[in-house]
Amino acid sequence: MGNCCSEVAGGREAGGGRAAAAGNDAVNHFLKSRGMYGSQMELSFSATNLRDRDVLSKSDPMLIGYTKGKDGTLAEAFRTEVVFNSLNPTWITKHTITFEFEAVQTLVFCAYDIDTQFHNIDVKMLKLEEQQFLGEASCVLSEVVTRPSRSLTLDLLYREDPTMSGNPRHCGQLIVHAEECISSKTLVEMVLRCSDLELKDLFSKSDPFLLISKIVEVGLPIPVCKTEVLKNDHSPAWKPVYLSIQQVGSKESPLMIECFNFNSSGKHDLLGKVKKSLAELEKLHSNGEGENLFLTTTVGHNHQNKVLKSQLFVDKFSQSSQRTFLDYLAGGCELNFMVAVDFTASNGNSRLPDSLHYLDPSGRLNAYQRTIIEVGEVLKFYDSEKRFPAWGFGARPIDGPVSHCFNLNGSNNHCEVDGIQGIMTAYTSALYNVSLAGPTLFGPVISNAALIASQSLANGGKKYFVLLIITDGVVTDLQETIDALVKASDLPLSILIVGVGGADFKEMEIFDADKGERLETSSGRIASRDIVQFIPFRDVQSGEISVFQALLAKLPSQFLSYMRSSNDIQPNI
Amino acid sequence: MKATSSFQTLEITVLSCEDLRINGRSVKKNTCVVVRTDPLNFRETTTDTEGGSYPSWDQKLALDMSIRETCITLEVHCRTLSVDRIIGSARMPVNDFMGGYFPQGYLSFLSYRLKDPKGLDNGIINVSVRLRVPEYLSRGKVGHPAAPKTNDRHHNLGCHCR
Repeated sequence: MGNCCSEVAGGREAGGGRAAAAGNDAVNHFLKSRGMYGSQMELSFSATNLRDRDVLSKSDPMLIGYTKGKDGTLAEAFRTEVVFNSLNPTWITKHTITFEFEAVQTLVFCAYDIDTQFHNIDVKMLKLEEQQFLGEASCVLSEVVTRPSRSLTLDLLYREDPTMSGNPRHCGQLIVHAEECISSKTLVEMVLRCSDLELKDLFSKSDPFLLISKIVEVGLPIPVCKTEVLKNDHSPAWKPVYLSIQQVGSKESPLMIECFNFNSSGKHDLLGKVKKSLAELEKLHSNGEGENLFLTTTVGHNHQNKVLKSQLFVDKFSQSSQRTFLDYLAGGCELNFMVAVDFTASNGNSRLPDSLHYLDPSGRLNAYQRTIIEVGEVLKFYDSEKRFPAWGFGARPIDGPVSHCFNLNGSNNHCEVDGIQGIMTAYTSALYNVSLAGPTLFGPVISNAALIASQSLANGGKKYFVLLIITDGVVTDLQETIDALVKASDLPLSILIVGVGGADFKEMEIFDADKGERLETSSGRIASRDIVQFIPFRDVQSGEISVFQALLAKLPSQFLSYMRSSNDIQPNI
Repeated sequence: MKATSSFQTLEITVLSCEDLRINGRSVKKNTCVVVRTDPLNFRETTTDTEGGSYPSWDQKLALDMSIRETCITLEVHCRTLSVDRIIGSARMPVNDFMGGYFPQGYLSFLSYRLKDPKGLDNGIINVSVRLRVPEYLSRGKVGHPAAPKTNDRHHNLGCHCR
C-alpha cells in the first residue's frame, strides 16, 4: 500500500472547482495503465450478402473473432453459433470486450460456412480446416465505438490463394455493433463517516482519510478512490465519493476500505479497515448501522484480526446513471490531436547518427517519430477529419529569426496536416529546412493551442484538444509556461509532454499535478484543472505496459472532468 | 433603436476555499466570502461553520457590474459576534472569464491565490463564473454561440506563428 499512497500529492485532491463539480477527480490519480478506465462493451454481429457455397441450400454461417497482438499474432476470442440457411445472418452470440481507450485494439473476423454434418457439434469443437471459408474482415475497436450509431460495416474479403497477389474478392459485408454495458454507466455516490478513531497516544493528531480499493485474487488491492484529508478529526465525515460500478467490477465485488492517518512524509498510518462490497455498504446505509474497523496483526505465520471500537457509517448511498466518455462521443464530441516538436540544437545535428532527430536510412524510427506514431495512432480515431495542427519550436526557418512556434508544414497560413502520415512527412521536410537553435520555450506553443481551443469554443464546437509536446530538454521559460498552462486549464485541452533523450527531467515533474502542487501564475491565478502529464521516453522500455498507454489512459477522465461541468455540451443518451 | 446597457450581471458561484489560516494556525470556523466591485457594491455568502480551514459554500451570488469594470475582488472574512476580519483576498480580472473567444454564457471555473492583509499567501479560493446577458440583448440574438453543428468546420484555423 505504501506505493499508491505516495503517488497521491499530499493526499488532497488536486484541481479546483471543475474537478469537484465533475465528481471525484481523485479517482483519476489512481488510474494506472492497466486499462482501469476501460469500459465494458458488448459486441454483436450480423452479415449481408454472404457467398453461397452450397448448391442445394444457402450457407450456414458462423463467425469467429480474433484479437490481434502488437506483434501481429492472432488469438481466438469467440465463436458465434451457426445460423442455418441464411446469407444475411444475425448472430445471437455476443462478445464482451473491455474498450481500452489507450490501446489500438485490432479485431479480425472470419466467417465460415459450416457443413451440415457438423451442425450438431458444439462450435468450439469445430475444426476450421474442415469448413468452408467465406471471408475475412478486420477493424480497430475505436472505429466501432466512435461511430454515432456504434455500428461499423466492413467488407468481407476472400482470397482464393493466400500466396497469390491480386485483389481479393468481396463477398458480403459484416456489421459490428457495440453497446456499452450498463455497469459502465452506473455511478455510486457515498457519504462515509467514522466514529471513535483511535490514536496512538494522547498527544498525536489524527488527519484521517479513506482509501477504497478493489480486492483482486492475485496481488495487492488496486486503489479505486479516496476521500479528502480531514484535519485533526476523530469523528471524520468526509465529502461524497463517487465510483462507477464497473471500476470495481460489480456491486458484489469485495472492496477494502482503509482509514489512514495522513502523514506529509507519504507514509500514512493505518488506523483500521473494513472489507465490504458495494451491496453490503448499501445495506449498512439502509440499516443505519456501523461496521467496526479492524486491524490485522501478524505474528509469525499467524494473522489475527483485532476488532476496534471505531466504526464506519454510510450516511448516504445513491446510484445514478452517468454519462460516459462514449456517450459524449456519440453526441458528437471529438478529440483533436495536435503535436509540437522540439527543434533545439541540443538534439544534435540531424545528419549524425547520435542525433535525436536522426533519420535512419534503414527505416528505424527515432524517438520523435515513434512518439508521434504511438500517440497519434490511438488518437486519430477520435477525429473525423484527421487534420492535425503540427508545429515545431526552437529553430530558425530558412531566412528567418528563431521561431518558438512555426508550422511544421512550412506554410505561412495554416498549421494543419493530413493524417499521421502528414505529420511524419512534414517533420522530415522540416528537418531539412530549418536550423536547430534554442532555447526551449513551451509558452508560445501552449498559447497557440489554447487559442485554437478557445476559438473552437466560440464556434460552439464539441471538440476537446490534445496537445503532444515532444522535447529533449528542460523548459527554459518555466513561469511563462506555467502562466500559459493555468490560462488553458479552463479550456477543453489536455497536454501530454514526452521527454526524449538523456536529460534529467526531474524539473518537468512540476507540471504534473499528480506529483506537485496546483500550478500558479505570477499574478496569483491557479489552475482549475490538472491538464498536463509528463513522461520520459526512456521509460518506454521498462515494464510490459507501454508508458504511452499510461499517458493516454488518463485522457478520458480529463475529458470527462471538463465536459461534465460544462452545461453547454450535452451528450447523446 | 439599438438597446444598450452599461451594466451586466455576474453570476458567481463561490465554491470553496483551501488551507486558510489566521496567525499561522488553521482557521476553526465562521468564514464567509464577500464578492465586490467597489466598497458599496458587493454580495456575500452565508457563513460556513463546519469546514474549518477548508470551508465550502457552493453558493451562487448575482452581482451587477459595469461593463467597464476590470476587476472583481474576492474577500474571505472570518466573523465572530464582535469581530469581522479579512483573512484573505484575491483579485479576479474580468479578462479571465470575459472577452476574447469566450462564448456568451460560458461557465468558467477559476481559482486564485489568497493573500492575507500582510500580503502573505493564505490558501486558495475556487469559484465558477458566468456572465448573464441582459434579456433585451439576448432577444436580439446578439453574440449567441453557434448551435453545435457537426459540419461546422469551415473556420480556417490559421495560426500566424512567428
